[in-house]
Amino acid sequence: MVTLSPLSVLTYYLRNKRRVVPLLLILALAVALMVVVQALVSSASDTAYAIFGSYSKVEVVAPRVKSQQDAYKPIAAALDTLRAQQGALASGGALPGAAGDLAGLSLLLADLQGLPGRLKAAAPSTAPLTGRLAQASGHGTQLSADLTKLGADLHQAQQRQSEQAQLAAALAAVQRNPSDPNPILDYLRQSHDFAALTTPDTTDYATIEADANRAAADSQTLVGDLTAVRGLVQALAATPPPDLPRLLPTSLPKLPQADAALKGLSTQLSSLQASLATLTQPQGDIAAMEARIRTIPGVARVERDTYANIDLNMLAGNANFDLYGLDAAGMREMLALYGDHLSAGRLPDPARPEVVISEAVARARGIGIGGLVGSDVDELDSLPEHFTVVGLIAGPTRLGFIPRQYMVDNYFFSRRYEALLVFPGSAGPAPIRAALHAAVAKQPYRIFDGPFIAGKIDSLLVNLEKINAFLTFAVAGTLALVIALLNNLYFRQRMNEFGLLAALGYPRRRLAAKVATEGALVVGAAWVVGAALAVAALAWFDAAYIRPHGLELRVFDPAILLRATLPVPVLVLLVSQATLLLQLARLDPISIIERRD
Amino acid sequence: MSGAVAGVGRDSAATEAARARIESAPRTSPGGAALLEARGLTLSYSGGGERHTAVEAVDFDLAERSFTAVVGPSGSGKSSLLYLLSGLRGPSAGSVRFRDADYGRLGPAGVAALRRRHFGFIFQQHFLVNYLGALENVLVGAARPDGPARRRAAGLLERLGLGGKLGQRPYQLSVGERQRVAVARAMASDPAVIFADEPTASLDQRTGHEVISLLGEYRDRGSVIVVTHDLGMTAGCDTVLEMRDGRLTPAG
Repeated sequence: MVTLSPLSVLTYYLRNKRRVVPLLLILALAVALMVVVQALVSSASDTAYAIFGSYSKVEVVAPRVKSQQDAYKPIAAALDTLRAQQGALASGGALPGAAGDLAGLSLLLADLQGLPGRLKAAAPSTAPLTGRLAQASGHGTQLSADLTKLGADLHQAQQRQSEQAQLAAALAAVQRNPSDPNPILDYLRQSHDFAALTTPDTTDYATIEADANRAAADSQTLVGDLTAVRGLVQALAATPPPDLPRLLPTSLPKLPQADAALKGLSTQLSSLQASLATLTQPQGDIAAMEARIRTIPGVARVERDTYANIDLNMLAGNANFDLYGLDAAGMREMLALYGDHLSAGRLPDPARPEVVISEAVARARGIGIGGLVGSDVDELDSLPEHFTVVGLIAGPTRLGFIPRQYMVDNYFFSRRYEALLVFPGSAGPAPIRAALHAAVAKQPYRIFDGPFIAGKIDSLLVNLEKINAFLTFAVAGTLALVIALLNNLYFRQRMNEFGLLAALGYPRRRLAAKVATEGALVVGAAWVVGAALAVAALAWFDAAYIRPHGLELRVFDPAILLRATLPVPVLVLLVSQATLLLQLARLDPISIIERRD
Repeated sequence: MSGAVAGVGRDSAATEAARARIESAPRTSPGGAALLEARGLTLSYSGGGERHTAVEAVDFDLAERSFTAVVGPSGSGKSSLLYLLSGLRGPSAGSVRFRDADYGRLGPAGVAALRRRHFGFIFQQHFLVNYLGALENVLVGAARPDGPARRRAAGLLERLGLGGKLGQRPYQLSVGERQRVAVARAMASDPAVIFADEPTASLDQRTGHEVISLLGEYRDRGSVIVVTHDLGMTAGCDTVLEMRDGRLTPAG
């Protein structure tokens, strides 16, 4: 069995657990709190850097423009011009009508539309002629029917007379040779209208006569019609033509002014059309800028990039995750540059609203393959409408791609404004930055790259860092005072012990070392326990919240542990030890011995 | 864990030198020189705008293995004399020597080392460390809390009738038992001198006599100076001195 020295620190701790353990726990919790706070502050920074990690190896030259302000100017100019022309037309008075040129133009058009009607009314009527012609046509048709009937009658009479002649010939043959009935039999074998044989020829003649009479009457009527037509035609020919100038619109003299007004309007409409067409064209100087950047030594490749972004929530606030609008080759080049790869799905179809994003970003948005991003889903997304996630990217850097072709084909801003994605050569981006900045100079472009992003992130987080530093030292200072107070209380309760030891001859510096060691070991133990607690808490928080939300957290980072855990123990130790050692230096054993309590 | 305690048993080089001088000095001075020798010992202090003298020009010799009692009324300066002789307080004038080692030359650290190795103390109150057991409290007085010291401390407590209470904390012991533990603590390092300041003041008469008897028995190994206002406790002492108004005289 190990025997402890009675004045050892361990003996003191074991016999004074009710004093030591609460102190240790308070300090440990404070240390843990400091670590957690520091880790969360670092998490904000790490997550921001991770979100914008894609700028570390490329340079992005983006137009210095925002969609709203850029589109507004040319559209507003064209509309102003059109409005001015409309005003001039509305109040001009060049055309007839009190309400202005537009109203006059309207009256002129109505006048012109009425011209055929007026012309028709002024011309002589052809109605009698038309009626007579129709009547003659009807009578002609009637005469034609009469003549057809008469022809049929004549044919039937001829047919009947032929059959009667055949029968008479057969009967004559039988009479000449009674023993030979064949002629009569041959006649009977043929098809005959035997009723007609008995019908008297006078009937046919009466019918023929009646039909002939009717045809003659109709013929006379038709002749009368034609005579009347001739008379009507002659009468029409003898009528004078209408007075055309009288029939023309009274506003006709204003036609040149109307023509000028319409040409002016047409010009303005063309101008507006041109303005609108300009809006849909790519930014004018991008080709020149692209060509200029290609000439910079150290630039390996330049790609057009129809950029957009989606919104990501962070621990505090939110951030825009930038998507690169590239063709498939550009996407593959980016993946290779950053050592990333498709872990699931495929790259976007160039003709469809599809997107691929890093797994961490997908987790942050709570989606997977088949999920949607875009302004339809989250109004803070600059990506328009909604795009379907068709692939997930794994690897050290968070990347996201949308199809350039689809963006250019479908979205005004993407068609008009593209960024230039500059791939540096093997020497990396640093050597080309100066030349790139010189190329951009005062052009309406700006450069997004690692240093720029880092500066932005740091400037955003600087206040957080200051608050954290203030909290750290406020907590450490408060704790130092509280612990020092407690230690002093405990020390006063141990005055008899230290007075006795001093009287027995224990050197002051040994007593001081004992006090210092007791305090240091408690603080040290609290430091270790606090750090362990913090790591455990961070590990749990990382698994439960940080990773599922696509955030970054360094669970075990010696630098953070040291930076975050040292202020509290060091300050507590300094204040406590200083006050205790001061009391110890002032310790008078005799005054303690003589105390009668 | 013995020896692992900060502040126990390890002194500075200066203290070691002083200790060496003391250790090398003869146990009994040639020609009957005293073990502890005070000359012209004076202690004065200011208070309430006046100058007070607690000890005035005291000459004192303590022989080896002697039992000396200093008696006197309360406020006569006997406790102050004890503090001066033990080096707990420095004199306003005069000197104290232990085995030819002058306290003034030893300095505070040297005197502390002297107390640590050669002196034992018993105070009116027991001043036991409340979170330690009886045996551990005795070991506080030992030069090194090692095995032999532990066995010796246990033997002392056994002799003092506390063999069954080695692990008892002070609050578990009676007043008399606590004082006996304090006596054992004073004897733990086998000191050359035990200074006892009113060791029986808080005890009943029987227990007080027991303590005085124990101290008397210590003459076999060292010297004892007892300061008391109770003359009844001086029986068995080799020498009884009286302190009156800061001056020391043989007791009448």
